[in-house]
Amino acid sequence: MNPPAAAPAKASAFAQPPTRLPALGVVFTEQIRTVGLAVRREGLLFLAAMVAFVIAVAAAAMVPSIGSELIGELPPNLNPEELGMLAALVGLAFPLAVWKGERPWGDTTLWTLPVPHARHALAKIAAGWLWLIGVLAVGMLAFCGAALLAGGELGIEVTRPVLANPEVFPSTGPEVVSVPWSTPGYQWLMPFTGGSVMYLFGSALWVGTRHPLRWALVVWLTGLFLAGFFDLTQVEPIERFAEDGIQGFDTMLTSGYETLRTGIRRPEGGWIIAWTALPTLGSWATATVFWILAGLVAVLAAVRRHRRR
Amino acid sequence: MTAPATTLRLPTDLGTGPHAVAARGVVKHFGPIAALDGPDLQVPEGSVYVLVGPNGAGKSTLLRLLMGLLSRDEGTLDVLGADPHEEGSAIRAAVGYVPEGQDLGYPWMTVGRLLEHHRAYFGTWDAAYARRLVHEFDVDLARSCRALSKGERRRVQLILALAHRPPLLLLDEPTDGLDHVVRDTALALLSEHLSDRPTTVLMSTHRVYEVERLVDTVGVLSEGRLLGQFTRAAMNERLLRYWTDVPTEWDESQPVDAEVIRRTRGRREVEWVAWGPREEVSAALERTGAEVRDVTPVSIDDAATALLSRREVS
Repeated sequence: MNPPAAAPAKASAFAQPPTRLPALGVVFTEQIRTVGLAVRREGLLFLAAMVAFVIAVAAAAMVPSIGSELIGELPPNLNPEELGMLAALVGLAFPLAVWKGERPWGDTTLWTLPVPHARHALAKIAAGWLWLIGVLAVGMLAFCGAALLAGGELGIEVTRPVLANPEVFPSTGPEVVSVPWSTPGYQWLMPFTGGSVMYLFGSALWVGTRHPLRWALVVWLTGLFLAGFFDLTQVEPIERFAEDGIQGFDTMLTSGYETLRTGIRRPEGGWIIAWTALPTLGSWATATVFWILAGLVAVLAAVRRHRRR
Repeated sequence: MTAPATTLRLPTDLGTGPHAVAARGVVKHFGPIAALDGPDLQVPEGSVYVLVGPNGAGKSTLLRLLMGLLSRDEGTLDVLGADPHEEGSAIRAAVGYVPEGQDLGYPWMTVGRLLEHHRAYFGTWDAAYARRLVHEFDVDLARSCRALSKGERRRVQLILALAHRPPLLLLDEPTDGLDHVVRDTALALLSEHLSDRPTTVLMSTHRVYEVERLVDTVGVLSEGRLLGQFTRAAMNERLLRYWTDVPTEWDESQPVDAEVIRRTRGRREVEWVAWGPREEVSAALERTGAEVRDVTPVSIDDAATALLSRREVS
């Protein structure tokens, strides 16, 4: 035995020394470094892919005859509304890279360190979010570079066909007016906010459930089922709720690029795509704030499951 | 070899303390299976306590509970004066932990970076000591954790557990995967650590003989229950092997008024392992017609084997 423990517990040589827990800033910084190392390989691959993409677009722009053979016709201008879904997929998958090597429901290294588990998980999720923003920024820069090298511009300036009376369409026929449209500044934030929201939900699934991929599948299938069910029931409030929900989600991701457009048959024959309404900053901001809050609630509920483990 | 079917009464109380670790009536279920079924464990401050038991006895579960990696279903736990359920992070700051598995967590990190990572978390990290441990364990800091062998990963885990100079070490199979030379190095460093700093060690192992020279307290866990816990001094005094000669027609089914743990019969000789005052046990054996020829001490490893090989225990 070591030195005899003759003295009372409080005064013994073995009394616990003052506990020095790491400051939250230290933990966050360390998690930024750790996640950076975890995603380094995938990040480098992504960077290489983006560089290759830009080089290919530059080559195609310089030699159009060969370029169009290789990568087809390039869209001349970059429309951020079309990047929302891509960013969402990156955000949803990113937790897999952030938590590489960690099993939140096992004896992961993270839990053996002297930080409350819920706080530690939050620090890791926040660190991962910073890296996600970096990845999305690299992606955006690559797309911007490609658009400029292809002779295009950043953003679009077009005339959009808008239904004059969307509230009574299609009973009254398609009366369409042309409205000039140019990409508003806020739409350049959409890939970042949309990716962030999906990252929050992906993180909540990863941290809060023992079988995240299984749960992701369950959520997806349930969504499909409910959408079909609401469609069949034709009950006005339910249908409206489902439509608003889907539209709100699309508004957050793409400012309504998918749900605000509809195909209409022209009296003279043929189809055109018309807008039931044009995207607005107000609707996008409302949807984004709502979904960010929902994502944060999901993350907090997920990490709460680890609060005393 | 026969295993007496009587209920064995071994000491399970190590006194009032002070205890670095105390568990009382701890129950932990995994589904319908009780991994721990109410053991009352007491690890005296400054002791090197070895927890022995067969696979599935609940040893690793107990260590994970003490680290705050699991939550218990019932009972109380006290680690360095705190409850791991409530103050797990404070406990982890003061504990050096070697887990059962050799997973270092981050296979893409170099060993050097992994040490830096842990250093950031532990305010008491002793950089000079860590360098010395790296040297003594012959660990290459530039190597990727992914490329390490089982034994090398165990060495890194021991460095991580010791380098922040914790007052309590929770070691789950600490010598698993180590070759003889590294095992001796590890035990020498552990021994040195114990003499340098006031430290309590609670370790679980199947290889008691490897750590026997360090151990001063023993606990025997089986099926989630504590069969007994005692100091080495008490063991040396009361847990003894008795060599007896018996007549050819000796009746081995007759009752023995002693805490017999194991009885092995030869042709005219019976070897007993029994708990109790030497004179009382000798007298009890002689009342059966056996003649005590010799009494020898039992190693902790032998004691554990004898205790765990009993067919019926309670």
